[in-house]
Amino acid sequence: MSIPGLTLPGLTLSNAPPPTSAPSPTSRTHTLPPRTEYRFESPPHSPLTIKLLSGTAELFGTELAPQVPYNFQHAKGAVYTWHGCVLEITGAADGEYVAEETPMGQYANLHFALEGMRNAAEMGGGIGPRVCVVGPAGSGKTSLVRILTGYAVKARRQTVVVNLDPGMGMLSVPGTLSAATFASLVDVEEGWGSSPISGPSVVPVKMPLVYHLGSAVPEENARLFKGLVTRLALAVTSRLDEDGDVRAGGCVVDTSGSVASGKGGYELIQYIVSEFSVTTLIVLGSERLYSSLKQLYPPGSPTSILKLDKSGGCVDRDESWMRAARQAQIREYFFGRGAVTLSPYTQMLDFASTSIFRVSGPATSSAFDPGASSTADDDDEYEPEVYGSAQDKITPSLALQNSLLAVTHADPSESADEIRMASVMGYVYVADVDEGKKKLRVLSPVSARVPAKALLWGGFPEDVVDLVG
Amino acid sequence: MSDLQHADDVPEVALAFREALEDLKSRSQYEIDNLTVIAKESTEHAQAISQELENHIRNTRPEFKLPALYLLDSLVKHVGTPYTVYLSRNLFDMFFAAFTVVDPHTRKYMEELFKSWKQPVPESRDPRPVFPVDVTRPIDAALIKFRSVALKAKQEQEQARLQLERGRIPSRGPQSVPPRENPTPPMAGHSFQSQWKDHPSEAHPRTSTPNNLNQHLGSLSALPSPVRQGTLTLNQPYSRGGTPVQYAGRPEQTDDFSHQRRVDGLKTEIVRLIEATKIYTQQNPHDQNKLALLKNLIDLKRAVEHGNLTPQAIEGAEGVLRSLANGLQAVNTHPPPQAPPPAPVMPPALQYNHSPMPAMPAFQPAPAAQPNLPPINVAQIMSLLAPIAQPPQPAPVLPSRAPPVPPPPALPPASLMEQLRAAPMSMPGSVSGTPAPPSSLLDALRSAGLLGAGGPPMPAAPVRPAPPPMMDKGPPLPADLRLDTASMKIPRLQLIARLYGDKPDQCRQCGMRFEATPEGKRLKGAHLDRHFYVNTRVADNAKNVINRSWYIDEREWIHYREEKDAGSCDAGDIAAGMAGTRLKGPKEQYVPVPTDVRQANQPCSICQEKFEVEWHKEEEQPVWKDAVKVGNKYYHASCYTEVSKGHGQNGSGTLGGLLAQRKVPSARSTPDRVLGKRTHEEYKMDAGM
Ligand SMILES: Nc1ncnc2c1ncn2[C@@H]1O[C@H](COP(=O)(O)OP(=O)(O)O)[C@@H](O)[C@H]1O
Ligand SMILES: [Mg+2]
Ligand SMILES: [Zn+2]
Ligand SMILES: [Zn+2]
Repeated sequence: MSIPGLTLPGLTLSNAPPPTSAPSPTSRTHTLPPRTEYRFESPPHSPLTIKLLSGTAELFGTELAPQVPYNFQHAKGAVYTWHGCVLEITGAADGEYVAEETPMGQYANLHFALEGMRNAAEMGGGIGPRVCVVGPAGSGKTSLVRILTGYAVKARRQTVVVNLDPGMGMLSVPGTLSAATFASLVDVEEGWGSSPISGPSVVPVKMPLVYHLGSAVPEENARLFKGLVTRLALAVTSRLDEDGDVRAGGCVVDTSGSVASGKGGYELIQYIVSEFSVTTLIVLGSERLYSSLKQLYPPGSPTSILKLDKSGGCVDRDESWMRAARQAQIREYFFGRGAVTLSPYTQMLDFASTSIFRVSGPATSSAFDPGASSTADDDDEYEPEVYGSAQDKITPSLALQNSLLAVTHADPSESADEIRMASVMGYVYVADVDEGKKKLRVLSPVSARVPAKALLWGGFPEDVVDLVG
Repeated sequence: MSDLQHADDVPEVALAFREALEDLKSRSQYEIDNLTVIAKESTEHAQAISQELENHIRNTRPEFKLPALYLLDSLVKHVGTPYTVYLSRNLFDMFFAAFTVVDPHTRKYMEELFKSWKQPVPESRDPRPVFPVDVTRPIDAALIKFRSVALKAKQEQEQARLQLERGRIPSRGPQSVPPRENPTPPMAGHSFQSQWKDHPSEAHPRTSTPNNLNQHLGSLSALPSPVRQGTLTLNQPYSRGGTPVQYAGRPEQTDDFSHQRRVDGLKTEIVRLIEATKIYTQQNPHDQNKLALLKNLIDLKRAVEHGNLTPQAIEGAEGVLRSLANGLQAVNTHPPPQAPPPAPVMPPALQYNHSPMPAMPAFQPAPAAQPNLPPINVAQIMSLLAPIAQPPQPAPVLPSRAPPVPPPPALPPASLMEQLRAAPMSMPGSVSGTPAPPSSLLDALRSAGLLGAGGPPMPAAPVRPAPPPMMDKGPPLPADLRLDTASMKIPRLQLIARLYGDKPDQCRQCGMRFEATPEGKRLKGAHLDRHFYVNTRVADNAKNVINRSWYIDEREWIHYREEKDAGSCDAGDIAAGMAGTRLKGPKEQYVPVPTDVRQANQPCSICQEKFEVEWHKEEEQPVWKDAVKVGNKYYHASCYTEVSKGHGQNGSGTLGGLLAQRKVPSARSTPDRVLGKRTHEEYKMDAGM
């Protein structure tokens, strides 16, 4: 029997050490003047390797070590230099150039302004700034949050980073909302680094708190989204209150582009601002959004609002690119990435022993077409409907095949509300459904029995067809 | 326990050593030097001597453990090998055998002592730490965890107790009960006043403080444990009239330790109230008063933790807590007060920041109108506490970020005591200066809506002026650095040095930077240790199966603490261990039977009894029942819980889980694990059955 995960196409990332002797034919150097950046897009199937030969350089706020090769696959990004540097690039890029105009000066200023607030918080024993970044998709929100996080780590701060964009996971799979305290180096190669694994990790792992939304955009399930935002905000605020090492650092909240689309009068932005008591609302890449929010948060209100330039390097990522990125994130959850190979565990579950609940409420009209269109406007009205309970428990069927199930911390006996609002232990992947024998074959990250917890099934992230051979 | 040492096996010198140890009851330099010399001259018996010391540390009474650890310290620092080797073997167990039973002050000393073990021997050329990193790392990790676990356990006990109480008291009264317009606390302002008079500050004169450290340590160990005895009697049901604060221990205790005990008691009490208030607010998420109270309690806790409270301030806080406890009890007995007459409905844009988060999922419809919120006036409280914590001075002495801790034992005793004295007593001038009169603190709390109506309204206290920028954060930031778009556009390249040039010492492996200061050096040392440790483990682990761990839940996440300066250990491993075992009581814990035959025949390292094997249906492999693996050792889960009790409500689930990271994964390679199971037959073959 083949070992799942070890023979998958696209999974066998090259871990071979980069050529040390003669540079390979594709190797080239770029000399960057101070305050410029090298922008690149690396292809999906072969890594682009960047090595800092001299000078200083950082990638989204985290500094590169000299002479260390960093590999990027299916990634877009920029290596910025404050002092000038020479980079050695190996491998083919789908695109690369050096840009002179960047908003890095503004982003650094923002960092230092936040540091001022953190210093003040530290002296008064209060909680540091709560920052929230909003803007259309692809305006560089996540990149800015990474920069702020990287700089905060450099300033030896601990900050809580909150991801409210279910389109891509942070330290988890797509479809999730999560929070994690960053107290150590942010991974350069890989978005946010890794959540805990059972072995050693060169870049310290980060400990996320994860919730399952099960849709690509908040508006698809606005009520659940709000509930989860409240839960997250409560947890984050408690952590900030109780953890003296994070308190002054405050938090930074990343959001989905869809909440900035203007539907529903930015109601979800307001909700987030309110729940996290946001002190500083950063708007990227949209004049219109900025002017609307300025009216909601006029000068003198406790939330100050700040517009910053979008980076010219931000690239639109089309749906197929995003889809591939999501699938890579799911693979990485089970099988690891780069030098770290994880070994998930396949096992059979009896239908009878599983308690699977649907994420969204019982089917109404739109449930036949999950995720087709966001129905934010009518969805946001108050409806006294409560989520059904027992009838939401589903009998496993072929529909589950190739999808992810969230393993919640909730017991199956808890109410459906509690189950949907529960934080998540992790994910299992349904490799097979045998309706005849009433058995599920699942891939579990952990080499023990899948805990007898309530499982959640949503329409997102979409099926991954070839996760297990 | 396992150490059955037969007298005839033990060399003469070790027996003499054992006897001398029995007399080691203080930190006597003379005695410790003496024993160190004996040990140095008998290195051929180092193993036996180390064993004696180990037994002694494990078995001696709590108050004599610290001197024994100092002897251990002297051996490893002044003699070194082979003692370091022998003593490092069970250092973890020894350290925690002591740490778990000594009082909090001794713990502080132990932590200081331990810190020095992570550094090179002072004045030595050898750059390596006293104990190798792999010996200190688990201790480090456990210490970090210990702090949060201890607190959590305390809170959980309190919560359980409160829940019991609530079982008897209807928490959500029928709606028909008329709202209480005026939730007067059971104690009127008057009685607070008089209580303060009952406890004038003269009750805490700093009379004779022994200069002789040994003498003082002696008296310290004679003191009742602060946890058991120094706690305020607030935990007991209150009489309506308000019982004055009583100490179960020694009310007349006048030295600084009693001060510290009071602080500890106060902290416990605040934590308890926080829990109680949290429970209340979870049920009544819209009671803004209580939400404000919660926030204020948390702030108060912080202020107390900061440590710079004068006796007066502490007394003030005690009084406040007393009345709060009464008030809360009253509230929990009655239905929550109805929202006051609807406030003018604010536009959402203005409302947002004043509404504290609903404590629970927002699935219930929001109330039609938010009650008119009293301002959450932490500023007032802080401003009242502020002059106490920070006397007004032209150049204010800034409180350091970390709470004051006693300096390492290397310091001369006199200065040690001085610092110890200075720590809880705050700055000069705080007593004779202009401390806030206690009553105004109370009034401020009341006027902030914390105590409900009762006393006369107070004019708002002046808001504490904005503090100057931190001193240890480099020169102040430019004044024009404001959060507006124009200010953001001004290039400020000089600031970039804070990210780069100010930290010239870069790690070549990961790019992290460190200051060229002794502190920066220390951090970098710890950082490089971590690299070394991880790289070693990566190499060791190359053939082992690694998998993703489950995520932790909310509660654990809130209490989770990141490793500091990336110097200690793998955060993830710890949590992975925690998550794995946390839900189980000792009896339900099991471990797969080790595949290695030698290990499979190992007994429990505590009671030396064999484990019971059972075929585990769900795991589909044989397991040892009631077992945990800690480091490389296996214990009965119940034995381990017993030994490590005091670590929380299930010690093995926390400390044990925490240390499960040390486990060497089974030698079995990937295929078995991925295919899921070993068969019973395979197991029998492996185990030679
Ligand atoms: N300065 C830059 N140079 C090159 N690519 C960039 C730059 N900034 C961001 N990107 C890339 O652009 C894409 C969109 O940025 P991202 O921060 O994810 O936006 P958002 O979070 O707003 O959707 C990402 O793939 C990111 O890596
Ligand atoms: Mg994003
Ligand atoms: Zn490093
Ligand atoms: Zn035992």
